[in-house]
Amino acid sequence: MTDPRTAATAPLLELTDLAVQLPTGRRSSVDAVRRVNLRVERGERVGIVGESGSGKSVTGRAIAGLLPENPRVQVQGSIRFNGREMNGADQRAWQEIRTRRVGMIFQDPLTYLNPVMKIGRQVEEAIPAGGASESRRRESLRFLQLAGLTDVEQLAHRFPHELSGGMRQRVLVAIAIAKTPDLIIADEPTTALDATVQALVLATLDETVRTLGTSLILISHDLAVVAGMTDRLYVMYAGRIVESGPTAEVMAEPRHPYTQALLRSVRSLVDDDVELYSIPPAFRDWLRTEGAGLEFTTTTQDGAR
Amino acid sequence: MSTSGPDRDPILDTARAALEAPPTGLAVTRPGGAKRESLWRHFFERPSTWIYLGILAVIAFVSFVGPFFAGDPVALGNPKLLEPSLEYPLGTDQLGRDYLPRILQGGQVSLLVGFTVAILCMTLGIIIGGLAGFFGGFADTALVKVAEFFQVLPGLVLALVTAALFGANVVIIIIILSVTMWPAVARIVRAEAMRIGQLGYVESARASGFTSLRILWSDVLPNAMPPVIVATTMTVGRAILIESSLSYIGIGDSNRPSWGALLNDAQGYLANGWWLALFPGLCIFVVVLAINMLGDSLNDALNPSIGKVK
Repeated sequence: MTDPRTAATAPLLELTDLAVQLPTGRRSSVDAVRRVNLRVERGERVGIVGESGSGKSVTGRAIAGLLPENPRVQVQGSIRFNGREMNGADQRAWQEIRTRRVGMIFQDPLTYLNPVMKIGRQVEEAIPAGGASESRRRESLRFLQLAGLTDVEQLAHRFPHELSGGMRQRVLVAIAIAKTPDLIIADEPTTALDATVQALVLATLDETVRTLGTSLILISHDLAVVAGMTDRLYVMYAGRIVESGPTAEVMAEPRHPYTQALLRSVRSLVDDDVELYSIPPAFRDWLRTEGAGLEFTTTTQDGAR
Repeated sequence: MSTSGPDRDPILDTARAALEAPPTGLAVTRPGGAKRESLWRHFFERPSTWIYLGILAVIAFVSFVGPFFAGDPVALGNPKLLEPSLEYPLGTDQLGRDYLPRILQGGQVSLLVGFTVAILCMTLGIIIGGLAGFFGGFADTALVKVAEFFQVLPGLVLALVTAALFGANVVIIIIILSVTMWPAVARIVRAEAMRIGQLGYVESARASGFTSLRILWSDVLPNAMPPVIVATTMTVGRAILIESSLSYIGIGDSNRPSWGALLNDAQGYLANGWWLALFPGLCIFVVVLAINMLGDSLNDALNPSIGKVK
């Protein structure tokens, strides 16, 4: 339900006490996400960092309603999109969100493109409304250009396997923006790419999001990636948000021990001889069990700007 | 540490410069008109495709049009067991019937049975296997049980019973063969649909808001086609061969003998009538071979990443 009073002022996306349980076996399941509170304003760029298994990808998929359709996958709490409650919404409402509102960019650019469909058509199909095929084709070429690709006329007639990794990832960016979404969720968008291409694709993503005024959730294990591209930052560990705040502040003064540890494990270009820090296993165990009490989100009150 | 923004990063500066360069794509005029790459073009570009298609087309054309010119396949009164000659290009059989019109008529039956059964099996297999594999759950369980039921039906007994009840004609043979052969195709489609359903581009399509049926149609099935096409071409060959076996045990349209029936009739005359076995055998061999080769070419063409240098 859309409340007209709050629709204008409500944040674009608001997760309240989101919890996701995923089945791991016949009788067992795991709390992949536990009571996560997260907010994205219009035009805001938000980062979620954490190591693998911290629940950041599951959170991203829950926002797009892409968790497996299985009665044993349980989503609790509230996912509000434009003030509208989406948890428990019907397929039609989710379809609307996915067709027009939320674009996803995934990690592995090859497996996320249909190998037997031409690039041009894959972008065209992501444009939501109908229309003449010629105008749709023009549109799709424009989106490919926006995603930083050149020679788009020829490119549109190619198949995914004929493209380099960086080009494929740009095609995924083009597909995500083709619906002119309100929000783009980029889940480890550059992890499969080498460092140089990674920088180029991130720059494209940054530029595209700015041009279109789209909100962005950038999910990564790599603090360096998130640092330069986001206004606000959430640090996740074991399904919880352990720290959040304006990116620069969190980077400069990490308060949670896990964030401090995470920052220390980033490889530094300046101090070559410093041994790379790795989080000790005992500390991980302590975080998993006792860390729950340390869920202090520093800046939930002020606007984080 | 990582607090330095992207604006100070030399790599990103280079990246920006590259992006600010004007896109050249739309300015380039394509030489020689649009050179559209198509999946089917790979297929039709091969000379072998045209050779095999040509063989099949000639045999089909001759079988269906030839009988109007070649004479009566059941007229008796010619010399018996005559070797191929100018007057009787394929000789005569043990009852003194001209063998050429009989071969042509046999071709009609064999080709009709082979292709119709294959198309029916493919259609059923894709629909049922695709739905079962992609949606899983109860639909999968139910459809797999149905497929297993039909697969364990003893085809021969089914054919005997059906023939006793309804008589044996081409339509009934086609139905019996389709009913017992579709599960093989359906299983392949199901396995492929299950595999593809887990892949990234299906999730990507879901993220684009496509409905499940549309994803099944435009992402899952096209990618499942290569093994299905190979299975279908093999079905053509197998259907032709099984039909001959059925003819041998008397289940077949005795007024319209197929190549298989002619081949089996010829068994008693191998010593003094070699042409009676040679020509129908050769026909079956050539047709099945051509179809299998076409299936291979199609497989390569539908799989654009095979055989390309990375």
